[in-house]
Amino acid sequence: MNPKSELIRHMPNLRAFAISLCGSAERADDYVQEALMKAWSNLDSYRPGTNMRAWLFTILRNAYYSELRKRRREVEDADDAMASRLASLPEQHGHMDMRDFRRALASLPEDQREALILIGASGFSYEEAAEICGCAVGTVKSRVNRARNRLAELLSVDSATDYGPDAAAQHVLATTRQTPSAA
Amino acid sequence: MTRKQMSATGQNFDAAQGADDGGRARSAKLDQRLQAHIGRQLKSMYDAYLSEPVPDHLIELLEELDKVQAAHTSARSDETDGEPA
Repeated sequence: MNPKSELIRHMPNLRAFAISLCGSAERADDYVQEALMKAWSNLDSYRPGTNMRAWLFTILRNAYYSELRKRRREVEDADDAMASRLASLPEQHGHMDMRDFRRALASLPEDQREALILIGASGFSYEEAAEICGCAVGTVKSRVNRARNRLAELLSVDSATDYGPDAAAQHVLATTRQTPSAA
Repeated sequence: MTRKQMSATGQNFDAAQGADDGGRARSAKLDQRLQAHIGRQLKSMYDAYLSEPVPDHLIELLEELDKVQAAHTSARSDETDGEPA
């Protein structure tokens, strides 16, 4: 397979990772573009037969972090900026429930969010994630645990007693709890 | 556990919390359910992003890089053949 079609094959995944990390499709596409160009000019350093997806993810997260460091210098509180950007995202990706989730995810420290996405969504092993993040396997594990616990804290306060995916059902539940006769 | 059972357990939770015994087990159960819920949310968010079409300009970028490289490679092999392009 030539490098172009190989890169095209991995692009949706790379992009999903980028959007999950930064919370903005527009910014994510900038990171993906940068990562693609870096990957292309460094194809020599990619060893065929090894995990190209992990290699690309590594390049992308490095692009993301170097941009983030730049931003941190410019914007006093990048986390706040991102939280408000996320809050203003159109609802194209789902209902209230999902919006709460995305907001909670965005409020996590970068390293925890990254670890959680790599393990829980991108489907990497702890070993692969450790390689991508340049840290120990144990560190990835503890980041994922802390991320899960923090999300549980944030979301258990917000959500109704039913953890089903349907926001409408949650609304009904909330209403019926106040006025048991209305159903 | 079915959805129906889950929501039944959930509705009983407030009442059950008052009881001293079994409270811890219930909260562990709740935590487990919440974790499963978080896992599903994360996955469905990611999958929604995954299924979005990749913007044209990113594909075009790769096409362009590929073209430039192809031209470069053929120019190089011309040079080694002693026939500059």
